[in-house]
Amino acid sequence: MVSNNSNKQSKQSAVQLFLKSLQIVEEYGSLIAFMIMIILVNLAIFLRITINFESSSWEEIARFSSIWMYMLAIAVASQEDSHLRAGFLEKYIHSDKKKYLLEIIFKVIMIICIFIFIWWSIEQIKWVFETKQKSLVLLIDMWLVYLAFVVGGFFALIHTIYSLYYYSQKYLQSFEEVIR
Amino acid sequence: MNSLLIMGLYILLLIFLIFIGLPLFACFAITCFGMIYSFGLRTDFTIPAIFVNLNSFTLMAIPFFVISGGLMAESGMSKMIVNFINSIIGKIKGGLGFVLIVSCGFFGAITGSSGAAISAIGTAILPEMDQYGYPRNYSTALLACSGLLGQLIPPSIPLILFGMITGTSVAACWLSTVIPGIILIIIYGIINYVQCKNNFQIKDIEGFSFGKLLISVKKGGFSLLFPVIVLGGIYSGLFTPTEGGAVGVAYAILVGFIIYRSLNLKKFFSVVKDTISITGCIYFIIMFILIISRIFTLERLPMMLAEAVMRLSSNRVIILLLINIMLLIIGMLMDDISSMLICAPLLFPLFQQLGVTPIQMAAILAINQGTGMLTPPVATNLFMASRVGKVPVASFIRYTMIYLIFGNIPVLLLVTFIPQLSIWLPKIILYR
Repeated sequence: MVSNNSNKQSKQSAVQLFLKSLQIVEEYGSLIAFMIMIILVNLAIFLRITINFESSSWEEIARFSSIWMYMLAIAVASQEDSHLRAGFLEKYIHSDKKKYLLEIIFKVIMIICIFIFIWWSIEQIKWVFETKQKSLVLLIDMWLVYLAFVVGGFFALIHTIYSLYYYSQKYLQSFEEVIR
Repeated sequence: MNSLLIMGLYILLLIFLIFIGLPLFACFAITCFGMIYSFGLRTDFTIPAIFVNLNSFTLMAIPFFVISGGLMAESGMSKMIVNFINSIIGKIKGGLGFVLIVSCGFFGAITGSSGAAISAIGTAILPEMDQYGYPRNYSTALLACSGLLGQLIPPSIPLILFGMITGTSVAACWLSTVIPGIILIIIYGIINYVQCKNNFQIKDIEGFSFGKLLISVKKGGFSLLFPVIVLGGIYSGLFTPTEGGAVGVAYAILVGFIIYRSLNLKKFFSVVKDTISITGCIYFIIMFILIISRIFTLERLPMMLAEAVMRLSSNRVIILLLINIMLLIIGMLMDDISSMLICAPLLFPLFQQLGVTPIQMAAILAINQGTGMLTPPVATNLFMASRVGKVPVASFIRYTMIYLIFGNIPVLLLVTFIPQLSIWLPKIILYR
C-alpha cells in the first residue's frame, strides 16, 4: 500500500516536472521571439531614418519569429486555460459535478480539434520537406518555420490533456464526496 | 443542398457552440471541419491558408499595440491622462463624466482595444467620480459605453484585421472611424450633461486653473506624447502601422523605465506574459477563421450571398438597414475580432455591389461591432466594466441603453448613409 502510494507520488512529481519544463520552454521561447520582433523592427526603422539603409532580410526574420511567437503563445494560453469563451450555460448550472462534466466534454472536443490541427501541420511539413521549400530572402528551410505549428499545437495538446485529467479527478472527487 | 443554406446552418451551429460556452477556437474549428466535410474539400489548403496570413508584417501590429498599452497603463499613464483632461474640462457640469469619455478616447489612441481602455481609465477615475456624487452604476455604464472609443480612435485592432483580409490600407481604415468617434464623444458628452443636470446631485469641481494645467502637462507630458509620436509617425509616412506599434513599445519602455521609473523588470515581464497569453487566445481563433474565410472564397459564398440579398430588394437603403440589423445581431453573439473576421470577407462583395467603399465598410463594421460589445448576451464591454466598477450588469444596463439608443445607433446610421463622414479624412490625409 505504502509502496503504491509512493509510486503514484513519484509519477505525479515527474509529470509536474515535465509540465514545468514545458512551461519554461514556452514562456522563454515566446518571450525571445517577441523581443526579436520588437528589436528588429525598431532597428530597421532607426537605420532607415538615419543612414537610409533598408533590408528585407530583417523583416523576414521578424515575420518568422512572429509565427513562432504566436504558436508558443497558443501553448501558453492552453497552459493557463485562458482560451476566450462566451458561454451562458455555466451560469445556469449550479452543481459542481455537472460543471466538471461539462468541462470534461469541452476538453475532449478541444483535444480532437487540436489533434486535427497538428495532423494537418505534420502533413504540410512533410510536403514542404519533400519539395525543399526555402524562404525568399534568406533562403531559410521553410520546414523550420512550419515546425512552429506542430510544436505549438503539440504543447497545447499536452496542456489540454492534463487539464482533462485535472477535471476528471475533480469530477471523481465530487462523486466520492456525495457517497461519503 | 444549396451552398448558402449549408453555410447558414453552420453559422447557426457556430452560434449554438458559442452559446454553450465552448472555447471560441474550438467553436470555429468544429464549424471549419464541418464545412470542409460538407463541401467535400481536401484539407491541404488549410495550413497554407493560415500561413499566408500569419506570415504578414501587418498582423505583427496587434501584439505591439497590446503590449504598449499594457506598459503605459503599468507606468501610471492612465491617471496622468485623466488628470490632464480633468484640468481642462473638469469644471463643466458633469465634467468628470466627460473626462471619462475623453480619457477613454485618448487611451484608445495608445492601445487600440476597448477592454484595455475600460480597465485602465476605469480604475483611475471611478473612485474620484464616487467622491463627487456620481452613482456607481451610472459611472460604470458610462465607462462601458466609452470603452468603445478605445476601438474607434486609431489604432484599432479589429480594423488591422479588416485591412489584412480585404487588402485595404490599415492607416485608411483607422482614419475612417475618427470623425464618427469624435461625433460619438460629443453626443455622449451631451447625454452625460443632461443626465447629470437632471438626475444626480453632483458636487462642483474647483474652477479652471492654468497652474493646475501646467502641473498636469509637466507630470504627464511624456505619456501624452505617445499618440503624437506613434500616430504622427504613421500618418506623416515615416513608418507603417506595424512599425508604429514597435516604436510605441520602445517608447513605452523608455518612458516607464527611465523617465517615470515606475516600471521594473517584474512588472515588465508580467505585462509581456499577459500580452503573450492574449496573443495566443486571439491567434488560435484567427487561424480557424482564416480557414473558414478561405472556404467562403473557394465556394464563392460571398458572391452568392451578395446576389441573393440583391434579389431580395433593389432599394439600397433597405438593404443597408438589413445589413446593419444583421451585423448588430452578430455583434450580440460574437466578440469583435471573431465577427470582424467572419463578416469582412463574407460581406465585402455585397458592400461593393451597393457602392460602399472598403473604407466606409470598415467604419460601418467597427461601429456595429463596438455596439455589439454593449449588447447581451456577448457584451464584453458590459462585463469588463462591471468587473472594474464592482457592480452587477443588471444595475447599470438601463443607463447603457440610453447611450446606445441616443448615441451609437444615430452615429451608425449617419456613417451608413453619409459616406463622407468616414472617407473624407482618409482622403485628405492619405490620398491627397
